[in-house]
Amino acid sequence: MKRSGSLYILIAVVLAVGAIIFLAVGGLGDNLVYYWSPSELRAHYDAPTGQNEDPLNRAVVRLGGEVKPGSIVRGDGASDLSFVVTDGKQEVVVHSTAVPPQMFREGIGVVVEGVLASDGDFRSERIMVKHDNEYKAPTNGEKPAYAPANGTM
Amino acid sequence: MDGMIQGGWEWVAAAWGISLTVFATYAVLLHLRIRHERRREENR
Amino acid sequence: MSAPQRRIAPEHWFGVAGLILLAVGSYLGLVEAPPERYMGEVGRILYIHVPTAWIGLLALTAAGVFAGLYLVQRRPRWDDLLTGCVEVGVILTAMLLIQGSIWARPTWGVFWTWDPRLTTAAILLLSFIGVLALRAFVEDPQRRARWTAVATLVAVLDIPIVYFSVKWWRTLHQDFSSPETVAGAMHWPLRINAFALLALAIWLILRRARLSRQRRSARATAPPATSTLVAGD
Repeated sequence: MKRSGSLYILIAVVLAVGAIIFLAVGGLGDNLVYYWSPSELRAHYDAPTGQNEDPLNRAVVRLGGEVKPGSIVRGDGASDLSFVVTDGKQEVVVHSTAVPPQMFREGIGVVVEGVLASDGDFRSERIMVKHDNEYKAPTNGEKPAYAPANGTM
Repeated sequence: MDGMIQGGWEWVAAAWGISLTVFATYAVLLHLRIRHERRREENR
Repeated sequence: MSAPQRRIAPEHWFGVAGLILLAVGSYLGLVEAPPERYMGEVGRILYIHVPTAWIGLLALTAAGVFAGLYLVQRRPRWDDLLTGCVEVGVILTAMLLIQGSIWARPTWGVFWTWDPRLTTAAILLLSFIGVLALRAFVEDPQRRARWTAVATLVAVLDIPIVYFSVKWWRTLHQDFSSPETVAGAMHWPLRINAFALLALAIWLILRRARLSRQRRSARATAPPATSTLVAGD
């Protein structure tokens, strides 16, 4: 009697926890792509479905790729910045008002959050730098990229 | 360079300091729980 | 009444070894090792973050093993160790997320983002906090042990997902580091701190198991009228 009662509660707990994990992780696997490549972003918005034509309907998305060497242009303000994100096939010009982290440089991987404006450029207020899994010492005589100074943090 | 989020030793100190503080707090609380239980047993 | 002369409990040797190793590993990581080429000094968070991740996931995996053992054998000892592994694993996972945030801000540019690695790690922490919460609500020791074991077996399903998330999905978080991707001078601080946290984790898991054993023996010897006062584990 007592055993079967607790068994039902046990099954309920298992189902509840399992459902939460399934929703969280299953949804992540199938639907949620953390960022789009420039090619995917272009393909999505250039498709003549009509649905995505109105710029006001465009959702905030993440765009990931490499900062094209030579494309970084800094404006007057500290946070007035534009650069090109590329995946080797397509390019997207990004205008950003975010303060980038110290590792932001040409050739590095970035993920930017924002919207693709109707002029075909990406407007972002959030830049994230993607560090790879390589950890190296500075090469002979080279100073580390960052020497502790008065940061803007 | 200007216009960059920068970080150095202060972030290293924060990561180490907070981690060790959390860990040490757990260790101390565990010690107190064990001592409390032992006292109760001895007083019975 | 008077406290007998107590010998040092054997698990304390793990604590001593862990603290010594942690001091050595941290010295190597913070003083001897070079700064990282692009990250500079802040790259040294590697030496605490990666060992914390390894040992945290290991503790929670061990919790799954003890949960399985408990369900098969129903020995209270396995429940004691299971509880220790979950508590210590939760502490380590919480530390992991804090360290990660602190590291992410100056390097990635943000404290947090919902990338698959970070999201699955947060789910892991919440799942095991849920296990501890479930435990706190059940009075009957056998039923509590059984439920804890089952809930733990569900929660551990997230461990491989956390681990492989950087392989399976696009993430901001970097891929696995391996000896090939980490400079030689950085290997020893990583290894020594990993063994340090392993020893410290074993120390606290055994301490927590001792607490459960004390409470169980208190329940067993207490007169029935007062036994409800010793509820909990």
